[in-house]
Amino acid sequence: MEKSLSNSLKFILTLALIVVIGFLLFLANKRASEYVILILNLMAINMIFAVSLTLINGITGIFSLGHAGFIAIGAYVSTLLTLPVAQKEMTFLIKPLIYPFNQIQMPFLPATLIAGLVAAGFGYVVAAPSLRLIGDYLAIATLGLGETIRIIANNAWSITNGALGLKAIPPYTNIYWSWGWAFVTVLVIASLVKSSYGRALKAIREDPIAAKAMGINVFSHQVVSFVLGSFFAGVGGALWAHLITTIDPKSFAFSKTFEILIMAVLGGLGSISGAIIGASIYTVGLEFLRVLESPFKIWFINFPGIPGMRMVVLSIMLIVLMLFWQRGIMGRDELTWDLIYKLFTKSARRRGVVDE
Amino acid sequence: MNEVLRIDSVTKRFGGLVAVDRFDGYVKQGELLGLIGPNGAGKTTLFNVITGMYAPDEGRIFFFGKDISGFKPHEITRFGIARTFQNIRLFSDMSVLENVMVSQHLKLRNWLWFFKCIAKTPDSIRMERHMREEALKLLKRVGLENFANEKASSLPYGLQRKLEIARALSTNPRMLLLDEPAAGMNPQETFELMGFIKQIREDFKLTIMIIEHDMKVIMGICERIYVMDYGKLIAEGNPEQIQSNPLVIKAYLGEEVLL
Amino acid sequence: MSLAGFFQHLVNALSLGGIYALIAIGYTMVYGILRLINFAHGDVFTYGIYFAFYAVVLFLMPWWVAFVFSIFATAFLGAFIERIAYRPLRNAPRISALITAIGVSFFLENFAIVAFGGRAKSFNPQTGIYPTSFLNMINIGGVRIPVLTFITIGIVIAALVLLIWIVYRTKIGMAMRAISKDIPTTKLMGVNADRVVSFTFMLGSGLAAIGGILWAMKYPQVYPYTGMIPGLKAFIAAVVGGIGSIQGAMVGGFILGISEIMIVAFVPSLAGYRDAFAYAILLFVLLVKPTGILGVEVSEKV
Ligand SMILES: Nc1ncnc2c1ncn2[C@@H]1O[C@H](COP(=O)(O)OP(=O)(O)OP(=O)(O)O)[C@@H](O)[C@H]1O
Ligand SMILES: [Mg+2]
Repeated sequence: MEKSLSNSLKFILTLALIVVIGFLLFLANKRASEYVILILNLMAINMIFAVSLTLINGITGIFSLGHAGFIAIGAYVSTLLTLPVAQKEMTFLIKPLIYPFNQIQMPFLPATLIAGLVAAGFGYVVAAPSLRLIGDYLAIATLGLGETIRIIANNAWSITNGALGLKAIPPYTNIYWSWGWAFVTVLVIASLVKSSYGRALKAIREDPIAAKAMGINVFSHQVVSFVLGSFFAGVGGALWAHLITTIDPKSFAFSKTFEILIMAVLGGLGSISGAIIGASIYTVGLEFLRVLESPFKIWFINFPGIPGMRMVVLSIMLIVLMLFWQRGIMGRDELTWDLIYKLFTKSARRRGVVDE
Repeated sequence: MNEVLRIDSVTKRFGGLVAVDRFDGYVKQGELLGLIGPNGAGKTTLFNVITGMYAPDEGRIFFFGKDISGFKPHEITRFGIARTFQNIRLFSDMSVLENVMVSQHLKLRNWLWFFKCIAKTPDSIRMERHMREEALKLLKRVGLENFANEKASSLPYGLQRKLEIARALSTNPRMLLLDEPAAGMNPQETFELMGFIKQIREDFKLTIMIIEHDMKVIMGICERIYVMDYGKLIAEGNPEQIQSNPLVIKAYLGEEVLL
Repeated sequence: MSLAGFFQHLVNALSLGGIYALIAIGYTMVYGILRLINFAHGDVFTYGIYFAFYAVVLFLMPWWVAFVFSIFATAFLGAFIERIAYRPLRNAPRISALITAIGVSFFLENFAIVAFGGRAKSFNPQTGIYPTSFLNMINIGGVRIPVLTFITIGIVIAALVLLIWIVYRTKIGMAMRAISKDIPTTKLMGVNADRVVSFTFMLGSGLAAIGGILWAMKYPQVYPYTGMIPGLKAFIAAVVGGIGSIQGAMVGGFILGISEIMIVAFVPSLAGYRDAFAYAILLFVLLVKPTGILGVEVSEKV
């Protein structure tokens, strides 16, 4: 039998890891350039997106393509709540903003929470009918709903300012908010997955019919998973809006969902730690791919930057990933201390360092 | 006579096909009832109707006197009817232990547990430990404890069937429906299975209904047998009566089944 | 609304619905055979327009040669995509194939941005892409309708008839229908499944190219995302009609086209929501009859 680590040791290791990450973020916040801080914020927000999508798609097996819609709801709702009243008057030129949004302004935290709750509420309304569908039909219905939310945002001028979008959003999102929420998201979802509910959700993914026969109310569990995922998508949307400070309906096109899907697939669809890794690699990798779109020089010939090249490379990456490496980095496994320990001892044994 | 299940003139159609045709039947407390019939007779469909997978088109089903027709599968499981599937349906990517623990989930009766589980409150941790212990007990009971951490799909076929039974038992049923539990087993495994089924009936005070094509199993352990053909009940009786029933022999004619 | 006005909307609706139907057939045939939602189909449609455009502008082909060229080039593009991206995943979990299809779609769109530029190219007779006479107006009872609308309807009908003939009267069509029932068995009967699948993609993509060219003449421009909205709507049409059913795709296409035009005609204030309207129809149909209007009910065997 494989020797494994004791629970208290694992707890201490986890705590130590959190402290180290926290300290590094604290340092980064103090010392790093604005650009690095922006990337770190994006990374945390992408983790929130990817982990919440993993809960829905990877753990529960609901193939949802509507994530961007819930992100949009979170972004719009939170912005309408934090934007100063005077700023709202200046923004909503074509049609005035409706009551009560035109009169309230609140701090970031309650705005984010409300954004998440509204997204969750929409998730509930949407889940009930679409979860009656299975497989591909569900994918299409959720895609349609996500797009519908965007189309509504494009047309409901008195709420969203239509195609003009919302500008001068207070830049509240900082390292503490984004990483704090990422931490909460991972904690809540991982804790859920590591409970009887998590087993039930996975059982539904593996075989919904058998899950029913084991006494699981498949429908209500799927709804709950969908609603919880939508909540965090909404929270992430709120953070994102207050990071990039301008939003319009185009920000929430299907390509947003596509990006998140890549992160989740890269990390391994069905693994929370995979989603975290996938989101990190994607965020950083995307920055490196910027090179592709900037002007470059071979010998003495100057080439202009090629817009769109990044997405070309990304889509090829996704196809190649699916063709040759469907499992992604983690597959459905979680990166646990036991796994690291096992990997370590295994490679050590291979080198002959540890003998038994 | 203490009746556990009553099937009252149940009909189930698929388009023009009448898979179960006005089936009448009952199961007594503690009984081991066999359900046989040629391929496509409607046996599995009857199980599916009893367990709520399909709603009956006509007729009703009573479990301990309560009309359970029209209830959802998970509700029927909670009433105390558990089942296995003809084509094994394990949660193949999960461990053997997790498979059995999934069936403990119905102990969390209300959604308050959902928040408790996220917050990892003391009683949720106790509950988790309790579920694990119960599941392990069951695995021991069926002799799978050494495989607890293996992936369910990595088990050999015969053990997968056993795991499915363990998983069904874990819902704490009063009645168990087994759909061809001996399929794919060798004679030795089949022989053990027969003893095993009888044993769990005693240990868990179960009423068992079993579909099986292997007549050794049916004749060896069942006290009473229903024979179905084209959705209809064509014969009923104890093993001797069934073996000598001309209707049954006719239904099976052309099939290589030795009665 | 006058009768003539109604007639004008009706022919508009028929030509739009016909284009949706042409695209929807590609979705439905592929789904019928592979159970795959070919997300890239809308982009194949876009490439059909680009092929026609460049054949005229760059290779200076006469417009009708260019159109025929585009149909064949697009057909090969469709088969090529299947060969490269979908065939290796035929036995993989369905979600993998679906994600791959999404990837192919994004690739085609972004490759178009890189290769053809993100800005819209004008697709009108001034560039010699089709004869100016297509835009001549015919006066019917006081309303003026461009010849193009009637040409569109005519071509759609011709293409649909041809398709039905291929599917129901030729050997390869029979093989297609057999395969959509059951790939393994059909293979056992000596049918080369890969060839049939390739042919299906060619047929669907060719029809998409026809639809694309008709679309581009109607809304005279092409840009990398041209196919997105009509592609989605055609997919919805296929689902509404009952995915897997060719007749269903036609019915769905016309239902979508007609209702879209009529809603904008009768309730102009909802014009901004015309794209969302298709989703409303979709949800409604899925909830009432999940298999679509002409789809067959299949309850999952337990
Ligand atoms: N979901 C379904 N949709 C359509 N037809 C079905 C469905 N389920 C079962 N049938 C049909 O109903 C009939 C009875 O099937 P059933 O599976 O109940 O037979 P069975 O007695 O269990 O046979 P076997 O011994 O082969 O398992 C068969 O003709 C089968 O094809
Ligand atoms: Mg059966």
